Amino acid sequence: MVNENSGSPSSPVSENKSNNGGSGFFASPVALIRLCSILFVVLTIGHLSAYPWTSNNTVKNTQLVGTMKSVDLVFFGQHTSLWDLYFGWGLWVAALLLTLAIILWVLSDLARVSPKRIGAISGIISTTGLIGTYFSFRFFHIFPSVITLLVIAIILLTTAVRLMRRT
Amino acid sequence: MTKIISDNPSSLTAENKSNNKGLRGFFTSPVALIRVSSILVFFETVGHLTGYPWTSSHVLQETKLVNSMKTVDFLFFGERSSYWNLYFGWGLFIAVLLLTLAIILWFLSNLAHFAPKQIAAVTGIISTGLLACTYLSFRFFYLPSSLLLSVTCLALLTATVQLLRKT
Repeated sequence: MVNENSGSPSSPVSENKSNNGGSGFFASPVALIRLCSILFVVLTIGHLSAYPWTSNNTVKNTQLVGTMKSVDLVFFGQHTSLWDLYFGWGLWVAALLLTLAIILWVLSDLARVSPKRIGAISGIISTTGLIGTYFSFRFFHIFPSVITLLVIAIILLTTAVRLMRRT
Repeated sequence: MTKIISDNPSSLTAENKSNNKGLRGFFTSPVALIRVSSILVFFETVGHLTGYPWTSSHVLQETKLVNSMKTVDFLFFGERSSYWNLYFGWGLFIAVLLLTLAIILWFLSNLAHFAPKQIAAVTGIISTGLLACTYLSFRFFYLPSSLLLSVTCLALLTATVQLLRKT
């Protein structure tokens, strides 16, 4: 096959440059935000893989879950149980993480149109990722989630800085 | 300084009318609806945090249950945590995620003029995410929370439809 541009001596150079466009895309804010979106989906899947967030292999566990379901928790006159809160929050976290993932994916398209504002949003989600990293380390003790959240925080912070510099 | 006052009384009425229309127009605009949603999500965060630490120390049964939750191990992929750590950590994490959503919504309202189509997609997604949260809140938590979330959903859905009509 003949390359139409190959007549010019400078064409190999320009071809190389255009090939760099591929690596340029992968390091672009759009790609980095999308990568974080994917990482959030991975985090959601990891969170949901522990559903219903109990380990039924011991008698102690089963007994505890039974008690959590039976003890009444009253808040502002409304009745619920610690199990309902525990289980409901488990699902709520999944819903919110997935929502954040989709928001990031859609917003990545706007990085070129309004870099400053998307940079600010990236910065905010990066802070959330950082706080999530601390919670994951302090309370959940699940190493992969600590790492994933930390990576999200770092990537989004880098993206935020780059987008803010553009303006 | 000279103050310009209209001599014609009908022009004053027209001015008032246009002011009223402008004001009403603003409050029903997508920008205002998204900001109202942001404030409502912020209220949801505050409401969620009023329950901190989401248990009561006055009821003996609850205190005993919380102690059991702290002592019984939760095993996940070889990592050791406790039910209480998950419960308490999720409680805090949800507050952070809700606050993030509130801030994102506020920033998005500024972008509604630039990219209505994309912002409509994002508000639609957040509305869907909050619809899931409304159901979970109704099923597992408290009625006021689910009411607040359903109002937020409606406001965002209206904003989405308005933004889509603009495009």
